[in-house]
Amino acid sequence: MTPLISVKGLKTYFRTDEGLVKACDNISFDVNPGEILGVVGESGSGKTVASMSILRLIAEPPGYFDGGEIIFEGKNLLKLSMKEMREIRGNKISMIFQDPMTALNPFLKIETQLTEVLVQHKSMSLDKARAKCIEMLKKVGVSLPERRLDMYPHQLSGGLRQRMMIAMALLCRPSLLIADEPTTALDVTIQAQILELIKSINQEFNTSVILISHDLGVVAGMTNRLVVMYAGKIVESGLTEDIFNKPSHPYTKALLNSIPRIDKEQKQLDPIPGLPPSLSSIPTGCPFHPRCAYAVEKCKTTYPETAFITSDHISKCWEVSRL
Amino acid sequence: MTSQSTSKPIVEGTSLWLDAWKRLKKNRAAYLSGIVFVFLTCLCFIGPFVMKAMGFAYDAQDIAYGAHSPTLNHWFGTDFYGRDIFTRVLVGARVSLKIGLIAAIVSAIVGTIFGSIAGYAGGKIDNLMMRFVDILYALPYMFLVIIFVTITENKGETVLFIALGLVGWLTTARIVRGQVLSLKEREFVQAAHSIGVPAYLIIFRHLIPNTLGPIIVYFTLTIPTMILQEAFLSFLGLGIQPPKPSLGTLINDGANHMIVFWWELVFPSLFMAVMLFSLNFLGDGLRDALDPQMKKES
Amino acid sequence: MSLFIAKRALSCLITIFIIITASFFTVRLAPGSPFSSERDIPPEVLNNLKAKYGLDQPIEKQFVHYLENLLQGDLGLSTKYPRSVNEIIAISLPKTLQLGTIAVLWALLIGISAGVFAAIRQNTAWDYSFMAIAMIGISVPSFVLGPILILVFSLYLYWFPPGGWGSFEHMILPGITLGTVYAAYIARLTRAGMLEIIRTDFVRTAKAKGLKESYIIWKHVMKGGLIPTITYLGPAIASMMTGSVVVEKIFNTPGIGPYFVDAAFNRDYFLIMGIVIVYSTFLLGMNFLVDLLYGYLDPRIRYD
Repeated sequence: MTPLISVKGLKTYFRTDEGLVKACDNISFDVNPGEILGVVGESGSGKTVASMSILRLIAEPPGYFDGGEIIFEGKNLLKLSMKEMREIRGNKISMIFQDPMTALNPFLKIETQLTEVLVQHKSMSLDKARAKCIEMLKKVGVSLPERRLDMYPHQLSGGLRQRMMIAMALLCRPSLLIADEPTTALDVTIQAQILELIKSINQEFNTSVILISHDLGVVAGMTNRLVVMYAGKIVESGLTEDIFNKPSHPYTKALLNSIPRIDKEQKQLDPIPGLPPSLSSIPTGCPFHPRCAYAVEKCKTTYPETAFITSDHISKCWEVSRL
Repeated sequence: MTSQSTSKPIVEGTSLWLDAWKRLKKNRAAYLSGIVFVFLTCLCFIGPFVMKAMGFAYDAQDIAYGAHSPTLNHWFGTDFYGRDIFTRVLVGARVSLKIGLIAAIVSAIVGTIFGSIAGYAGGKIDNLMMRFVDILYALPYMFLVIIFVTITENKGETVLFIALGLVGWLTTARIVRGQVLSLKEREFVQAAHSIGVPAYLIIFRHLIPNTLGPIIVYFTLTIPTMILQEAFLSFLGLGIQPPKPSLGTLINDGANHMIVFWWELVFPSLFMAVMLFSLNFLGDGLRDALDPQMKKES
Repeated sequence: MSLFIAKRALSCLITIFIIITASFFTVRLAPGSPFSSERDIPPEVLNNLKAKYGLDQPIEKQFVHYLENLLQGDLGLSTKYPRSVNEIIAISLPKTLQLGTIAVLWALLIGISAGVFAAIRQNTAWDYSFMAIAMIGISVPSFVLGPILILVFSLYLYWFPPGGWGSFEHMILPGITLGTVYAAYIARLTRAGMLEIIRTDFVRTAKAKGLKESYIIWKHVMKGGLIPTITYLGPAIASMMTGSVVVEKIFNTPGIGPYFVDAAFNRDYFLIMGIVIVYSTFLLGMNFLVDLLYGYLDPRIRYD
């Protein structure tokens, strides 16, 4: 199967006052048509930068691409002009953000913010665009869509705002939806509804989804495959099932031990000792070694080679065999 | 630049002031302005004595020499009475600086006390006090000063300090009040309250020190404003009286003679512009350095 | 909404009343009198003069009388000029307003366009030079800028008259002199306001939607980005429209400004009051307008 989008060796760096920040350092992953890929990591692990790199939403400067490519529909997104990039954004690849409160423009009516996508990409008239938006709002489960269109964001609840964002992202029927922590800012009950909605969109429209989360619990039931990031690097990737059954990186393992699970017997929850490193001063060797229970001398000096657990389950750890 | 720059968990604890100082030093325009300002200030306070020793007192006339364009002896030229304009500019700038500084201090003190009391008291008292500020705002600022200066019939420096300082505190009061309003809900103030620390101690020990950043920033930006206002008044003949020069009177003289003696206008104007320019840049830099909101940006 | 307007209008009226009261008594109770400069006036003439202006009455009575006249639109007689205050203001205010209009247009045009341009080109040479120019604009006071403009454009280039009044050309230099400082402040505020919005999440959303850069600036950034500028515009327009004493003095403009200094010097009671009332009304009116504009710009603001 040819992947829908293929990120190869992506290096997104930032020049800052504290020095060079390697927010994404040699990141590679594929998203296949119709699948949901989970990207997991703590805040600061580079997962948001990775997703923003796909849409080229990184501020340049201070950010820049030091290498790598992102192949989508046979083209390298990193080489496209801004005009070509605009035709992809919101049209073929859409993104929804963490906080629907701040992601919607408080100064404009919902209608303006929805219809402008269709006007831009499909050259629709406003009337037609409005009809299309109402249709889409019904699909994402917004009641009284006509009335909501005339409202401003602050008049809507958090859950409704996120539904608006999702509707906005889907208007042009994109083939890829990037959801960056879509439920983090929402109430727990609403979280489940939004996740359910994303799942149903994936099935109904056959839209591929990149679901970014710091919460393994969120991605567990949602995703087909998983990428685990730590300090700007991918430390483990594979089928979600495989990773949950046989975590093959000490970090993943520690993450799994730190959350409650219903499928396994747990005596206690173990927090990961220490703090994630600052991206401007990443430890040498394996970046996880200062917090790792399995670290050996070699981990401090040399970055691990790829270890294959199965053909598509890989880990970056010297000590895989001991896990 | 969202997640990676805000999550810097392992950072040595630096104080706000040290942090601000570092950022200020990095802001080359502001740093340079600071140096220029310090240089000009030193020049104003030391220069006149040196010039006097060299025989160029600010009021030493040489009518026979008269107005002359710049020479090696008289860098900024001389005026109609043969007085050295360079010395006069230095003395005038010294007067302006002194008035600007003291007026800014007066307004900072009055504003801080007024604002913190209003913010701390809250409710009706706050409402009444801020209403008062609103009303003063609605009065023409310059007109107020003019009325004050003409009413007291005294054109000395003291009246200028008071007149400028007394009407300049309004913005400081508003800023401080806003800060205090939000600060007093914070735990450490609540805690001080609960163990019975008296109100004046809470204000002076807990509230004012925590609003010092904005106060300092506004203070530095008030100095050039005050210098400007003093010059305005002197320009209108309401400020410093001749033969004592101030930048305002010098520029006024220069404007009257500019057709023939251009240097009389150009040099004092230039000196004033450079002084205000450096002060404004410094104030701007300070604001950027002390404003934690801007911290995220660069 | 209408309740809000009514409330605001009422509080404006109260503020104006307080201002009138306060300035009436301050001016009155201050030392000196309108006739103190003419020392040799015989007592009976002085008494006649006082009676003419009603100054022989007790001060409370004078105040009530003043308010009564004010309600009928009568601002009283000038003690220095052989005219009523209404006449003086009617003759001089329009000139000041015309000058102010030029200044406002100049300040808005230059200020907003420079601010917007600097914001969208943030951290480029354009941005830096625009902001440096703005800083110069703030640092060069009008009494420096005015004479220099006269020196260059009137005495050297002969483009504009150096002062006086009569034609449109007479208004250009004083208008620019008056408006430049405000233009500089507006440019800085506009830039800062725009940048604040440009950094927000919703502008990132707009970019992620594939909208054009120019459309994003115009539709998504402008409305919120101009709010700080609008706040400033209230008092700024008021003080530009009421002119500047200094600018009118430099350019010999027969506006209202010079009258004020004069009136204050001569204790021209009614003229001082008249000018203070005109200015305050203007300022309060502008701030009122700004408050209304807020509601239009920011839908989150509710009037209640």
